[in-house]
Amino acid sequence: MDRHLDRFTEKTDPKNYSVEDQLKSAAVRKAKRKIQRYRIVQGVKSVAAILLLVSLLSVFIPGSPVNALCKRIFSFIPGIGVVENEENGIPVKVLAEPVTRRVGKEYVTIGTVVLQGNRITVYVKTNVGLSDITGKDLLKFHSGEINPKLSILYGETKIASVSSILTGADPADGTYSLTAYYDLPEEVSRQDRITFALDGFEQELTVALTEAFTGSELEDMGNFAVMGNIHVFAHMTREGRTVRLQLSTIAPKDIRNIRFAPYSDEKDVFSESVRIMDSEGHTYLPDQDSAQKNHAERNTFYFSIPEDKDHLTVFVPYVFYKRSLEKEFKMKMPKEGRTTDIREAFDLGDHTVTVKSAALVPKGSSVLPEDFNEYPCIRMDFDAKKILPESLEYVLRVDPTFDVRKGLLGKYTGVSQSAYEEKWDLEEQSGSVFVHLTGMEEYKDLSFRLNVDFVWISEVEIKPE
Amino acid sequence: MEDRIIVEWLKKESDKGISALMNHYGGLLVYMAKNIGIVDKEDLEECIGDVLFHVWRKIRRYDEKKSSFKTWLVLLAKGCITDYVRKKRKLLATVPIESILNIEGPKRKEDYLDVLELLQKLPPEYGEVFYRRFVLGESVEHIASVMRLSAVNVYKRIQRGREKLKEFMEREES
Repeated sequence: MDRHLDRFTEKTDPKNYSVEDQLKSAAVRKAKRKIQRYRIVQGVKSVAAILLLVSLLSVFIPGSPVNALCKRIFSFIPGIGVVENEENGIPVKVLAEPVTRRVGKEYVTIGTVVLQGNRITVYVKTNVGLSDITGKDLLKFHSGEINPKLSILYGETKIASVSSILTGADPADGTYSLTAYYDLPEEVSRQDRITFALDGFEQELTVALTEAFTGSELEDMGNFAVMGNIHVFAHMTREGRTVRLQLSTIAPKDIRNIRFAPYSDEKDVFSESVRIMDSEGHTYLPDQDSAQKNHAERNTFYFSIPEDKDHLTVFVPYVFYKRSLEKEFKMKMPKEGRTTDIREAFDLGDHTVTVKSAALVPKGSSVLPEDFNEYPCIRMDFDAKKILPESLEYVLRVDPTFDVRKGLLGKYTGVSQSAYEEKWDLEEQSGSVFVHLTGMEEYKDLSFRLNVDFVWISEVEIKPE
Repeated sequence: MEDRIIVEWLKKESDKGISALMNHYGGLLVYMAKNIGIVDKEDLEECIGDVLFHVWRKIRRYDEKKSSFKTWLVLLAKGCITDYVRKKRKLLATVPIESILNIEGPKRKEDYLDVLELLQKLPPEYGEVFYRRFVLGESVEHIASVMRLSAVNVYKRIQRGREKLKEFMEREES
């Protein structure tokens, strides 16, 4: 195991940092008092635990009121989609419509607010502090130095977030996203109106919350379509000609990175797109400019549709997603000019995927993809066969992640790597990957894990309510 | 005093261990607390008292195979100090390391120890900047002058280090 951090702490000599004697003794005194209190509480707790166990046992008696609440509850949350509500039985409150305030060039949009129990989650888009963005600002933003805080105001109290995450920023207009979580005191969590303040922005934003659309059956959430194992829901909002379509999903846990639009290098094969048709049969395609202007999230599409057009139907041609294989494969670094036969097969989704072989391709070889031409690469070949011939799932690419063993008895650890994953032919269902590992000539023992990208091809239609 | 003895005392004789820990590492702990924004004397006493208490409580979880005692201590201290600051609401909760990990953010002080192994893996060219900025809480300007780098370079290393950590994290998740 690498222990780089130890090297730096080693350089930190505690003798170089002084502390006043008075502070020293006060801190020690306080710590000892805490230890004493802790020991007393632990003694009391062991008695209390026995009493609690007796009362908990009653929860598992079938037919008890608590047992009835253990049914799954689903909620639709604008801006997020359909979610399984873990706070069983407690109504979820959400923001019905986004709220925006502007001051000069700067703006703040509160897009989504979700209140579950005492925990409130807020998604904000803003450019505060970055409206005149420069390269240096971007650097500062990405290194966490520009870091405005969003607080909740309640009377004279300012409630800080438990944590917040900043992502973005758009080099064009400085727009970035801020997600913040708060644990609210009970009296605040009972309010229907919440007021926010963002550092550096003059105006406060007050939003009204309503109860989320909740049900214990998926059907209660509105119309949806099923693509393989994925339930796809369509939620639509209209403002003038602009129609915002949000596709959300419920899927098994092993399915990740669900998306409905192909990446640019996939568009040659997947030329169809999510589209809308009105009652007269006119088709509307996503409006990229509008999506860019609105900083659309993945799986949110914008359309321009005349206001008098109604009974809109959504068509979804594909769904792309990723699955990971739990298994770890071990192999020796292949020798140049020789192909190592691997022939390891595994089932993932509706497929049996086979790791066929690995070879070491020297730098400069014409086999290598253009960007990898200057580096030696491990080439790996795969193919896949459907377990269920009628399945509409296809393998799109395979992405291995390598670990290397340093020394004979060392553990396998991560290594810096870059990979070129060939897009698979949908008919042949086979493909290759080229991987370069930093310092690869030093390693003999390798292990790898696999992520597999899939696409489900079957157009479905949904009529949002 | 050797760390081994401090660890032993903390496990067997709390009073002796706490005093030895404060005598040896007190200055460093106060330095970290001040860097994170605790200036008030009473707050400092309370916060460092908290750190000492939690070190005593968690000492059985310290694993010398994973890190040196000093590394374990500074990470746990960082978690305790951040936690203290949150409770006092003198500073908001956004600690850059949280966004690196792309999770809700360590909510418990122990979570800082959970990232120990990831931080150990961070290559040295980013690791020192990271350690100074996010563990010791030193300012970018200070790091730049100590490491003889430009401030821009420090930001860049922080950014790359974050990306690297995210990569490690994703790999662990997958």
